[in-house]
Amino acid sequence: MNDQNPARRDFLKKSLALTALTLTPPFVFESMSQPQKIVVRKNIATLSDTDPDLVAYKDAVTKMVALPASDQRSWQAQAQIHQNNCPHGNWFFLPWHRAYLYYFEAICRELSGKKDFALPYWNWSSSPSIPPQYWGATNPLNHARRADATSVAQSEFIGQPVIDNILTINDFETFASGRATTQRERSTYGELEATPHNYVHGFVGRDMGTFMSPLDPIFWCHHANIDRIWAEWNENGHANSTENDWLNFEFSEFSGKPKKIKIRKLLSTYALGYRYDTQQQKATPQTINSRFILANNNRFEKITNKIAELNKPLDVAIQVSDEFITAAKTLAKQNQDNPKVLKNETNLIIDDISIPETESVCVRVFINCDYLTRETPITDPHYVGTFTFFATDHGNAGHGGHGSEQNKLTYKFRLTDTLTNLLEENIFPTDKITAQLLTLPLFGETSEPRLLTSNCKVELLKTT
Amino acid sequence: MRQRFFVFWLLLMTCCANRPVVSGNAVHPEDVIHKKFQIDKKLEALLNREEVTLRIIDLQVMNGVETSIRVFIDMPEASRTTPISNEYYISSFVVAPPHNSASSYTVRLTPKLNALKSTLLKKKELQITLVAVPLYGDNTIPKIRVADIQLF
Repeated sequence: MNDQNPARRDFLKKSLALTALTLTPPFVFESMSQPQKIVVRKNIATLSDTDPDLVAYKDAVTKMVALPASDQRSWQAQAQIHQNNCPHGNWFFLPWHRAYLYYFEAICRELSGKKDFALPYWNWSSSPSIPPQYWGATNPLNHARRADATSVAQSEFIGQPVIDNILTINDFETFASGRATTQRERSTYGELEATPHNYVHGFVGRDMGTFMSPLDPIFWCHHANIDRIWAEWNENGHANSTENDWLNFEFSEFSGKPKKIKIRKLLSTYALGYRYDTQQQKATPQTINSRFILANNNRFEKITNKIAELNKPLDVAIQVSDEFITAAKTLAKQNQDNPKVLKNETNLIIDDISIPETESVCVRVFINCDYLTRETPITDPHYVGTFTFFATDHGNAGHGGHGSEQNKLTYKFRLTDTLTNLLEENIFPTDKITAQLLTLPLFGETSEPRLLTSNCKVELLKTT
Repeated sequence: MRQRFFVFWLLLMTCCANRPVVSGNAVHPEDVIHKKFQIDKKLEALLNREEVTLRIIDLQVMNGVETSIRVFIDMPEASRTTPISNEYYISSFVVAPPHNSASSYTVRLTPKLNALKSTLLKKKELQITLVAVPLYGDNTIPKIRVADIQLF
C-alpha cells in the first residue's frame, strides 16, 4: 500500500539515514511455544475456513473456554486481566494492549499446537460488517452481540479516510492518548482510541461494550487492528514518546514470562516476533529524538577491515575510565531502584556498519559475554539488542549513512538496562566494555554463511 | 393560563436558540455546545503553529445515551442534521463508557484549520461547536456537559 508512495519511501530512506536505532530485545516465553521467525498477522476477512491460523484460533478459543477459571490461560481469566488492569484514555492504552495480545497469542500457540500461529485482525475499514468468520451456530468465534451479520459500521468513525487522517497526526499523545502517571488514570483520549476504537466496541455491543469485552473473540482481532494502525503510524515515520516515564513504565499482570514488561520492549512488532501483512517484510527503524551528548570520558576503538562472520561474534573492546565505570554503575543502581527518576542513559553506538550483501541477517549485540555463541539466549543478562537491515539498497548511495561516508549505518542502543542486569548479577564491568556483534540468519534462511563486512567504531556514551 | 404557558415556552425556545457559550465552567446539559475564542495576536500565533489541537475537558453525557460528538469550526448553526461532508466539519469521536463519567478528548484541528485559516483570521472570533449525536440506532437526544474547551 504505502510502499508505492515515492514520497513516503523517500522519507523512510532519509529517516534511515539520519536516525539511530534503539531496538529492544524480544522477550520470550520459556514455557510457551515461541515462533522461530517473524509470523504474519493477516486480515481475517481474507482467510478461508480451512486457513491454518483461523483453524488454530478456533481450536485455541475452544480450549481456553474449557479451562477452569482458575487457570490463567482460561477464557474467563484472560478477560478478567482486562477488566482489572486495562488502561483507557491514557498513553498506556496502545502498549498495554500490544502486550496483552502478545501473551494471548502465545497461549493460542501453546493450546492449538500451531507454533507459528499469528492472531488475525479485523480491518473494519475494509470490512465494516462483522465478517462471516465470526458467525455460525457452532463456531467458537460466534458470540452474543448487538450487531448482526448485516449491521454496517459507520464510515464516520472507521472509514479509510478517517484512518488515513489519524495516520497523519504528528503528536504522539494526540494519536495515542495523553500522558498519565498511573495505569488506569483517565487522561485524554487521543483520536485512535476515541474514534475507531471506542466506536467499534459499542457497535459490536453486548460484552464488547464492557470491560469484559475480551469474552467476545472479536475483541482480540479488533485490537490487533488498532495495534496494526499503531505499527503503520510508526512506519510512516512518526515517533512514539521518548519520555522515560512512558518508556520505563512496567506492566506486570500478564501470565507468562517475563512477568514484567517495560514499554520500551513493546515498540517494535518485529522485535516481538510478528508483523502485519500490511507492514514491510523487514523492520523499519524507529525514529527517536536524539538528545545524547558525548561524555568527556568517551573512549572508542576503531577496527578496520574486520569481518563479522555469520554465527560468530565479533568483539570490539572499549577501554573505559574509572570515572565512567563509576557513573555508569550509579546510573544502573538508580535504574534498579527507581527507573522513573533516571535523567541520564548509558548508550552504545555502533558506527560505520557496512551494509551486508543480504538483508536477511540480524545482528545481536551483547557486551562482555565471554561464553557468547549463537545459542546464547536473548534473555542472557549480557544481551543489549538486535538490529536488522531494511531498504538499504546495497550499493546505492545515500541510504543509511549516518555521517559522511555513504553506505554505512549507525545504530544506537541503550545500555542502561543491560548494565543494570550485570549489576544485579554482580558482574559489572571493571575497566573494559566489549561490544559483541553476533550476525545471524533471518527468516529461517539456512543457506551458506554470508558475511557482514564490519568496519566498525564503537563509542560508549553517557548522557549529561 | 394556557396563554401564559405558551409565552413561557416561546421564551424558553428563544433562549435555547441562543445557547450559552462555554466560558470555562460547566454549563447546563445541551446537545449542542459552543465555545468562542477571541481572535487576538495570541490566538493568531497559536493558529499559525505547525499542529493545533482542541482539548475538550471533562465531557459527560448526562442522560446515559451512547453518544458521538461531531466537532465543527466556525459553524454555530451546526446541528445533528448537518452532514459530515460540511466544509466546517472537523471530525467525530465516541464518548467512552461509562457515559456519565467525565472524560477528556484531544482533536486535531490542523488540516481543516489550514484550509480555512485565511477566512477565519479575517473574523473577530473563532467558534467551536460540539454536536452530540446518539449512536447505534438510538433516537434519544444526548445531553452533554463539558468543563472547558481549549485550544493548544
